[in-house]
Amino acid sequence: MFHDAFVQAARGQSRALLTAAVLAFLPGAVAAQQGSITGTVVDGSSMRPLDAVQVFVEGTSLGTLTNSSGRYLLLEVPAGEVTVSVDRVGYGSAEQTVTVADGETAQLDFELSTSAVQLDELVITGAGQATERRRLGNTVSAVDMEQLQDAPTANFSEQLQGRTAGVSVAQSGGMAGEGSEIRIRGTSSLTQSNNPIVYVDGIRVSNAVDDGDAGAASRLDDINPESIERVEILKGAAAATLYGTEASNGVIQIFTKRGQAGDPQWEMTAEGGFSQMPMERYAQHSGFVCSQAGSALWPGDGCSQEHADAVADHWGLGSLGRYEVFDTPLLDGLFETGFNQAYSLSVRGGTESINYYVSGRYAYEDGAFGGEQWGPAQDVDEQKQATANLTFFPTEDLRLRFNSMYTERYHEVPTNGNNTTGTFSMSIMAKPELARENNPTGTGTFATIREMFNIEQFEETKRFAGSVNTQYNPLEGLTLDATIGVDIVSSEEIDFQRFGWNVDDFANTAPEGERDFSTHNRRNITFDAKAVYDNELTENITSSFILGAQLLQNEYHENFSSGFAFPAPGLEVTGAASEPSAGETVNQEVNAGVYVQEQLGFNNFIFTTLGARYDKHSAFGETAGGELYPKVSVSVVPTDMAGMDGIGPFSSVRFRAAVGRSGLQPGAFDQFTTFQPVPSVEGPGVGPDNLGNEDLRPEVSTEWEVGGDFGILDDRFSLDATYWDRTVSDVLVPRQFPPSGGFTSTQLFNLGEMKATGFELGMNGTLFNTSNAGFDMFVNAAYTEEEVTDMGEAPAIKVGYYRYRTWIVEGHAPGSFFSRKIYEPQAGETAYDNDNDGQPDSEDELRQFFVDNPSVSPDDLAFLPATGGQGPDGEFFRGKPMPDWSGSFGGTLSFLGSFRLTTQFDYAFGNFHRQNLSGEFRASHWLLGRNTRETAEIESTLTNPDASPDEKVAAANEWREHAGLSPWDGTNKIEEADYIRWRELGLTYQVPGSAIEGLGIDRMTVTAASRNLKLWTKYSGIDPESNVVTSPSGDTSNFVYGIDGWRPGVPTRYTFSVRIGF
Amino acid sequence: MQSVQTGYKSRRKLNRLSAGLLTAAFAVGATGCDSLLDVENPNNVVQSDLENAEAVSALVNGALQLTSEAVGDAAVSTTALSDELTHTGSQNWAAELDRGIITTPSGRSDALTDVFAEATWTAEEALRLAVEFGADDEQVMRANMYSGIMHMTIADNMEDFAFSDRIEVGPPVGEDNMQSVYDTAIDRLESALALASGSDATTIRALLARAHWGRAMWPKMQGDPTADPLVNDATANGYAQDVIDAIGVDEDWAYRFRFQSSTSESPQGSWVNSRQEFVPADEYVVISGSGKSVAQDEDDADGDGDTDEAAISLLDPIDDMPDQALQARITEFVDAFLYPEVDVVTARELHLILAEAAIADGEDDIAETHLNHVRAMKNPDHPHDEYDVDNPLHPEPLEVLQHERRVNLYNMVTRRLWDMYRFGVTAPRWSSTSDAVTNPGQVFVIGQGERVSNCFILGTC
Repeated sequence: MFHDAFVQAARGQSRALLTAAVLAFLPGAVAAQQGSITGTVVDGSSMRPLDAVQVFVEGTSLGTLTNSSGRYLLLEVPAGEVTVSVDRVGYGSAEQTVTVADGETAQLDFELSTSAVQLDELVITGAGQATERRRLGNTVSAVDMEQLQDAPTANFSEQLQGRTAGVSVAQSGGMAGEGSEIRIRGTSSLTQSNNPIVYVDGIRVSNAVDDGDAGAASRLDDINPESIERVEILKGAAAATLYGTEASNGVIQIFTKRGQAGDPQWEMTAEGGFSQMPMERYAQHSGFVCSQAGSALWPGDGCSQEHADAVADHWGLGSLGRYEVFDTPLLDGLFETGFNQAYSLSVRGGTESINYYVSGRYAYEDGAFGGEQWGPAQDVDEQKQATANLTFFPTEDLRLRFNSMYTERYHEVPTNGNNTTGTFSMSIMAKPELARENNPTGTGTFATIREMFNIEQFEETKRFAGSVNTQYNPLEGLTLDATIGVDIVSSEEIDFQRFGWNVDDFANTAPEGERDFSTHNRRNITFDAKAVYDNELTENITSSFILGAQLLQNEYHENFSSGFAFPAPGLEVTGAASEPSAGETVNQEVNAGVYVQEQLGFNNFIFTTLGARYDKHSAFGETAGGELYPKVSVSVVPTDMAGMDGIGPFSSVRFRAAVGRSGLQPGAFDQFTTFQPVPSVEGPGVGPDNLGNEDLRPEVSTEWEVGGDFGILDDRFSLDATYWDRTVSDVLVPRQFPPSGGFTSTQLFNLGEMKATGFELGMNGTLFNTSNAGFDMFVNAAYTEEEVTDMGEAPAIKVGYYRYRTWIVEGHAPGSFFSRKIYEPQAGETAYDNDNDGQPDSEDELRQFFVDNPSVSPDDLAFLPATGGQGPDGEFFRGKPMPDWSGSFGGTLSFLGSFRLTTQFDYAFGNFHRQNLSGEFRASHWLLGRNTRETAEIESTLTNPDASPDEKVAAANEWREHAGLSPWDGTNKIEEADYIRWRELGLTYQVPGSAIEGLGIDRMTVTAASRNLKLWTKYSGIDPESNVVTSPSGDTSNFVYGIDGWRPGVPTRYTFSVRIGF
Repeated sequence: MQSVQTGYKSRRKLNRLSAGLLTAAFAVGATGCDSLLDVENPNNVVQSDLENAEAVSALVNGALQLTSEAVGDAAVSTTALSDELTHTGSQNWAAELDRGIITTPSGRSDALTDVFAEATWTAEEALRLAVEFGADDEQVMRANMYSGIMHMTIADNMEDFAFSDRIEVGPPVGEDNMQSVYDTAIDRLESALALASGSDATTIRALLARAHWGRAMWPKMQGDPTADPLVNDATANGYAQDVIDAIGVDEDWAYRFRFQSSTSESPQGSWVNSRQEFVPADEYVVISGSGKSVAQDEDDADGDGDTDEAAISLLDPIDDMPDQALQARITEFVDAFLYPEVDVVTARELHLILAEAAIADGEDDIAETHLNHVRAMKNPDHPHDEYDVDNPLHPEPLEVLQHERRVNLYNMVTRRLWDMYRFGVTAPRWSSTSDAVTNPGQVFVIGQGERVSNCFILGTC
């Protein structure tokens, strides 16, 4: 990459060019001896001009991009012989030498060959040092953002979704700007965060979700997506060893764009669009007036014709019988057509001694979740982002880089998720037979729809991240590099119910208002320093040695205040409430480590890397010993051997293998026995909190991988395959000691072991490429198999809320589902045991039960439980929440010379299950469900005294297929959730250069695109990707992504954008 | 030329600066930054901070609060199970209790196991530290008292229970041995009494009366509760009489757990008044139009001139007027919103214990006296008619006793549930297939969290 040319030069790989650069830098020389270079870059096969090709003069910071006609112009090029390199993703790089005469323009054209194999690509290894991909034995996936310019993505998480095998990006729901949970190669920890750590330009940044409300934003998406040049993903321990005691989930490294010498190059984008919820995913609402809920909660006689007439009038149904099941479009008023807009402007340029990149972006999305007619709550995300990067070369051997990023963000979501006053949750669980003027959708309890939309919850964030990097080359081959940076996040989270928010006089929770105000202040400080020495040990052996140290400090400080019951309307601060309260939480973690790495190259086709990191972490205290994380890897490129020109059908071949370790520490204070404040009316008090374990150590992840990269048909196609195997030892198991011991929460112990294996396949290439058309395709797939192999003495662990049937059980994948089952009746039997004799009732007995009890609720029927479950507490294994297979496929079709059609499909399948908890409620709950057509009819038949016993027996038999919730949680709603989602479709028109000539515009594209167009799945819930995770910070949230509860699915978004370079 | 020299010097300075930074970096790395690794935890108290006489009061206060919450949770659970509350919310455990289903381990049993264990352990730990570090008698007395209350609550509410200490696992007591938990409760309360004086001694005697009464009740619940429903325990009666003698027969005394904004919310206030997971059952009160809350007595049905009170549907068996005790209790409960108090033991209950004993002994006149003391306490400004055991128009003493227990002990832990079991009353919402109907006397089982972690239960010890 051109911005790393300086690095290459310093490492001795381009010494001649460095000399040229130094000469060029000398003031007198620059002023007196300059010329220009111009030319065209085209596709060598089709001869189509290529835009956005990076063109740069080796050994200098001079660079530019080609315009729509494939043309480029380099000004102020030092006179003399220079080497010009060109680089574009999907093509092999090329370089040519040209002589530039003083005051003249040299002509230099390039024809690039497509190349799906990127072995020469520079990537940043685990030590933060650029090296060629061919030299690495471990997997480093790179995502080039330039290739995603046509993609309909609104934030960084979406940019990452589906791009790389083994990297899962799951958005929990469909709110605007909602954060995603990212997993790399599955689950590395039972109790700690499974999110990878994130670095931006060499400094650690927060990817936390501080807001506890469903639909909250992730700090990861604060990063301006337009400012990102490329992303590298280190998958697993073998790659991330040098990142130490926090890196076993992998590392995401983000590199922002940089300046380059030359005239300012401006880029502007404008985007607008709209979004809609996929209504076909939501089952219609049904009910009947004599339901258990209708009878109990309708004012007066709930099971009366008067009630039926009122409900019919409310929904415009005409006449309605008391037990007649009716349908309503209850959710129609909850969704709307959302709209979004985004604008960005950037400029890059500079001179030989200083260059800059400055970018600004404004984005606003009003999501497809509507309901604003009910109240002020909104589904909105607004971002204002700025990036400024400056690179300064004060001397020939010193480089200084200043990187900065600033974001202001406003994120608001209507209440949803697992929330008794959730607008979405209480709407899908509404009972249409309870609807009336002051309860328009018929919510059964807690609050009406109008009241819930009078609850506002929003978050305002200000964030700055900045770093200084200095790189000094005191000797040939020696580079000293130091980075210091800070990431400061300040978020204000407010949940507010104003005085009199219960406008329908239905809700009784804080009718005089309540305000919760929290500030989340995070500060991450990174200090990283290393020395790199590149040397040729012999004619055939090269060496690259790294010695470094890193210090990371993370501080979190939360202040919260709450005010309950305001004396009058208009008071909107916590201090004005009659019952104010306040508190704070402080957390600090420090991680310090030293690392060393030696990379040897033999004849430039065999490479081996050995390295290790020694780490200490504050979670183990000042006096505890450190941890050593070693690694070794080998990469062999036989096709680079002298005289070798391909092997069989493969034009290029690389084999690689790596093994390494990294770790994950427990929480800062998990080792201590602690007591928490429990104030009493007699004064301050304390009670049990954390049981404590002074022997806590980090869990250690050891991972090995083998694989290969293969070029086919002269590298038009590439195939890469990786098999990996991970063992996590000393797993931090949340051991549940008997609650009778006084400490009811779990305590971490290093008890267990988890194993995981998998393989990743990736293929991409060019199917055809003519002067007028071409088609590039890609496929990636990841297979993952995980098992908790040892839990020591710890018993099975129930994860999360009691309705979630997720468990950690030895011998099963983490987060596997276990539930009770209903007895499977044989011929003549039923699933019921209403006489409580431990035997299934016969159909005759059940019929007689209905003769004796002519009107019963489904809840009055006693199921006979199935026996023989091998799981905890005799429950049955019901599946696992992570798919065996996941990945994506798609491609880009170029046609008519100027059009590109780009698409991507994401998929997951194979032993992939979810607990459809929303569906479970809708099927089962007497007050918050039985509002689907099928279950309303069952209840109607069973409660209707005029229905025959035979009809009731049939209804009861059908009820067996729907019953859920305690004690039958998960029984009927742990479902297969395989899916294929049409994630992206974009049509881009590249305006021909002839059309924009004279306008000062170099490049211009117009794109119409859509995201989440279509979902194919047999899963009966709303969305197989949505889940109840709000703050994916570890512990129970690691496994509740298998629970689909009360979240709207992701909407379909349509965007139209214009991108102009000038 | 001058500018070139200046530039050269600046570059040298920068070079030196960079080299200095890098040197410092390696120095930091080489030392391992040990001092930086010792971070503070200002959020919590660690074990060693509690191991002194001065800190014991913090743990005792914690025991009080946790005991208050545990008893409040037990009150929510048993009143949901009895006919006192109706489920109007989302929780399955609540729906199950409303329908008389008790034995689901992952349901309410799980939550009660946790809160009972936490409060009991904290009280016992406070007691241990108080003795070990020589805390003053008041702290020892209080720790004993809270432990006694918790043991009594566990015995009242659980079919079985285990007592462990941190990671030292204890076996379940056994369903047949739960009466021994009352013995522990009585032992703790007697220890407390030995250190108490004045009003504290009165409170502890009242608790001992209640504990002995519960201990006597327990065997009745193991068989057919209706077979011999009345309790007449001499020790309980003795303590009850002692307290009444001490406070005066007309004193409407109560020992209550209190909640306020600086503590947690009362479980009853949170579940019933705020969340409206339950509403008082319409056998007791008139429900408002939304079906979610108690209506006000706008028509002044009880004729006391106050229309802001709760509208009561349950009538007094003597004068057929809306019951004033119930009205006062529910009005106070609703008005307290998040912080209603939880009655632990009251003078009215002690009178009713004595009345019940008198009925069991066939001494109806004594029963009448105690019942009328209770009736007089309901609303001195607007009293109900006196009960006359000799009046043929008045109900039998046992019927009056049942009514007075129902209204005066409304919302108290297990009282109504046990009365329903032993007097053969079923709640209208109990399913015919439920535990409460098919196995009267059933209370909560050991929760799932304990069942999957206690090696004695798992058989792996």
